[in-house]
Amino acid sequence: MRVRALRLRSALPLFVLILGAVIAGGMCGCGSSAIPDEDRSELILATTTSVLDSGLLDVLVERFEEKYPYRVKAIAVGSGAALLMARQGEADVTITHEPRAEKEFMDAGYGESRREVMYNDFIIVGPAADPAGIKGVGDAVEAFTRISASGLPFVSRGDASGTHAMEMSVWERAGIQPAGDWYMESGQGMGYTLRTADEEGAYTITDRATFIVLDEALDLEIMVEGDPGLLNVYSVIVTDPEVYPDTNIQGARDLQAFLFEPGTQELIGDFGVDTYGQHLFYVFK
Amino acid sequence: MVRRSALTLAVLVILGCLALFLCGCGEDEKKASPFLESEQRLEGMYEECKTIEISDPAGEHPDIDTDEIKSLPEVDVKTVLVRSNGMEKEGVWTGARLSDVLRGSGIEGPFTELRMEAWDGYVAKIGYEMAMRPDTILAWEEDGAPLPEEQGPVRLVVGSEDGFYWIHRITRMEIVR
Repeated sequence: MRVRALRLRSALPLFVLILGAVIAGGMCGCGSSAIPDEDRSELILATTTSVLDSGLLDVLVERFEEKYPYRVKAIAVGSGAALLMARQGEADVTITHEPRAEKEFMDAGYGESRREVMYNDFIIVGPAADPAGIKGVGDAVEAFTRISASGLPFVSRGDASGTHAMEMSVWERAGIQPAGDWYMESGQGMGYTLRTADEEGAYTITDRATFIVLDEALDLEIMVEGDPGLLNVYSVIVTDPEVYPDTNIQGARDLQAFLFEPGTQELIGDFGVDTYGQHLFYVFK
Repeated sequence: MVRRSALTLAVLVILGCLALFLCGCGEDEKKASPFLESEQRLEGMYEECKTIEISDPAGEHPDIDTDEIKSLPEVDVKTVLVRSNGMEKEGVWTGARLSDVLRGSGIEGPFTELRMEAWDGYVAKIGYEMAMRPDTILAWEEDGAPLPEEQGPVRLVVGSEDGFYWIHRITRMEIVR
């Protein structure tokens, strides 16, 4: 009996050591960082909602905070709103997908640097029956022309988003001013817009990542994809500290650099493949 | 024999811990929910936005109750909302003048800026002159109907300015002096 107790006692330290190592390893893997809170400064990131809704934002922020001494305050709004926040000195760094507005922002002197960090594409989705006959046309302008001519419902974001900016550029290229009973404006985010299109048997345009995330809950199908004009490029912009000296410039620069580190680029490129079986974002080679 | 059973127990516990950590670290399990993360985060927003916190270096002021705003003189602002992407929406917004709301809360002017913060962290700043304009209101109706719930109980309408200033889901107003 005494021998058995001794053996058990000698096995216990080993057990405790292994358990401790497993817990420590697990905590490291879950993003616990050695950087104390008091050593962290706040970094305000204004980003487009699709980066949040895809799940990528949380993973990026967690990785960034593991390595760098910042506490990221991420604000997910439309691209236009994100850039407008930065224009007022309320965001240190932005991730947006509205190239025209980004270039205006840079030209106006509000940005220190802008780098294209990743991309996917916009797609046109609609009811499986495809009453407007656009499936497979491969050309967004032609698809919009057919939808408009058919008078079948189309749901627009109608907000200050990069998606809406892309939609308007397609209508512009088609020479169409969309208006009428068939043209509905949700004035809201991509999730609401997709659900409305689903309920109304309508067409809409969406970024691919958001559609993939909601795909299982919708009856909508991809109608048009692969049009080079529907490329959806995300850029990271560091706010110019000369305009707003209170900007957390080092944090903004560190975040921008972090997004281009090989490990981060690999993470972005592979993100979602395990879960959805397809890429949500691509990185530039 | 005893050592073997202790080791078996240790291995089992370790495997259990590993499974727990792996679950906790899992990146993104596919959600059956038809709602996106940005939408799920709005839960409780409307109720929270019924109270607007005031911050003023000149002194303390009570929070603004959005129901109380509706007892102030009502004005209609007929204008065109111009969004940042250039899109326009014509309409009539009904509400109380921001100047009346501020005065009613005991906030004295002039101040440099009014910094308005929204539920999602969005921020817009307006100067004193803009805040005092007669067509700057906290609106609770749009075209005769209550604001869509996702905009919160009230929203700022600045009749003579772009949509950038038309902040909704307001949670906080900070006076910058």
